[in-house]
Amino acid sequence: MNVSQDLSLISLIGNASVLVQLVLALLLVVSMISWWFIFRKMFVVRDAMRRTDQFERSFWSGADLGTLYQAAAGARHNAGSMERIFESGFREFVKLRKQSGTSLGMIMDGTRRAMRATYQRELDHLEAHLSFLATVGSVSPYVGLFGTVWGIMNAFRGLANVGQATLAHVAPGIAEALVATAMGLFAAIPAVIAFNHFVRHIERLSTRFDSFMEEFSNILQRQANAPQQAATGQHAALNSN
Amino acid sequence: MRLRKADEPGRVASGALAVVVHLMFFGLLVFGISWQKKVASPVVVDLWQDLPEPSKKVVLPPEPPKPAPKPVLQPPPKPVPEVKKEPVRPPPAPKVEAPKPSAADIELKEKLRKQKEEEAALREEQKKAEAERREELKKAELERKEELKKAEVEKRKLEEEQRKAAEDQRREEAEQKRAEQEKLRKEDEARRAEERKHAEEQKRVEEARREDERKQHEAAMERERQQQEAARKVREADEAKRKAEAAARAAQQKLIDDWRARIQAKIKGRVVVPPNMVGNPEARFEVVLLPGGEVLSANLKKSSGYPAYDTAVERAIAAAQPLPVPTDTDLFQENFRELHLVFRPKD
Repeated sequence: MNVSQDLSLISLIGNASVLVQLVLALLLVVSMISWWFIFRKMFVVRDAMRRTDQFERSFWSGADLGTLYQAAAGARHNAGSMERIFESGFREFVKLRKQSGTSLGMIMDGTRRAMRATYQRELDHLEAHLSFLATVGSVSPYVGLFGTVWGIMNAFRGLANVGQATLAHVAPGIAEALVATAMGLFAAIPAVIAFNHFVRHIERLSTRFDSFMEEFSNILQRQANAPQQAATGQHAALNSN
Repeated sequence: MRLRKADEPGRVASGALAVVVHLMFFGLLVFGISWQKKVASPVVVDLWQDLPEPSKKVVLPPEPPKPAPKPVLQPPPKPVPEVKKEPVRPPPAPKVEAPKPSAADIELKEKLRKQKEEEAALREEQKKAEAERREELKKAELERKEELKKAEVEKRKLEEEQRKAAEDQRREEAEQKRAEQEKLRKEDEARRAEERKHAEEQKRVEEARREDERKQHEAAMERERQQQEAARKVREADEAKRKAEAAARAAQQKLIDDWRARIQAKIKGRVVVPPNMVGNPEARFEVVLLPGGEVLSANLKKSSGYPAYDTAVERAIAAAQPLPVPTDTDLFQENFRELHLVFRPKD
């Protein structure tokens, strides 16, 4: 009769069975972690895009490669992904060129490999924890549903002991069971949205890195054909390294 | 190769944001559900609507008296100090005049003395004023106390009234309840009387029904007896008929046997028994006759063991026609259409 008075969230959770409570706790923890990752990833991706914009601007504004390299190497922990790719590629290029007897093809191959390795590492860093978001998005509704089904099973089992079954007997049990589903959906929906969002952004970043690598290779190849021009900048860069 | 952890932005901030998001979510849940709870509570209020009408009337009167005592208390103390300050001011004026006539010889001394006196006077005056003020204050306080007492008395009176009103209300409620109970009891009695009446009526109806049943039963018995009687009569009649029939049948049988004997005799007279017969074997024939006594067919059913005898009988049947048959067609159709005849050589 006074069922409506017992329907506050805390009493609902408090009255739920142990398994439902466990499910709720698990979902809460998972949701917390997934939101933490969402915000972290948000900051990371935004930061990466900002730095990439910055570096591209400074790179294409016609700055000297040597000074760019020095800046990148000097602020290694503070550099963006594209800057790191540039730095590793350029360092490899300079090292290979210093060795006598290496052909242009070999130099370019080595440079590309170095850049490719850094690119992979950067992408790996950007994509870290995304799989967790995907897992949460796909699994937590089922976990919540499991809690709900269990709770409703209990509610109906309790109902079997009551001779005259009314809605008032079942309603609290179902309500408390549905809290689990709500929790699961709350964990899943943001995770799925964030996952798709980040995947799209990271893909765009990776294509930008790719095209940059190609263009930079071209530039380096051109420079290798005209060695005396960039020699000074390269040596300065090497010394600082 | 690279220290990644150091350069990741906003680890702590994102943790804090995650906590904030969850707090918001739970706040939404809690308040959303408690909002629903508030919607549910008016249903409880609705149930009370009939009863509180008298209590509202009681609650209302005390409200107006409360503001009334407050204005009564405050005004008197305020005017009193003002009145005191006015009389205090005039006394300093004569004192200022007093030093002027005595300021003749030693002005300084005089002045000093006068000043002192003045000061003393002033002090005295002040003291007096203060005493007066204190007295006034006391008086005011007393008045206030009296006022308070009065207010308290009034309050008590009010409370008394309230209590009385409450008691009245309670009494009224009790009265109401008693009246209701009385009503309920009366209703109950009426219902019980009705039930009793109903039960009596039912009993009467039941008795009538039983009587009816008894009558019906008797009538049924009577009918049965009559039926049995009729059945017995029918049976007797049947028996008589059967006896008559049996007699008729016996007569008919006799007639049939007679005719059969004649047929048999006519055939027998024409049988030429072969000479080497041993014993008395029988030959059975099935003979189909036409109404005039002609033989349509004569079939040997059981041979006598002597084919000569069999053929002799067959020839005798053919020679004996037309056989003697009754002229009554019904009798012929029933008994002489097919005849089973048995022949023995030594009969």
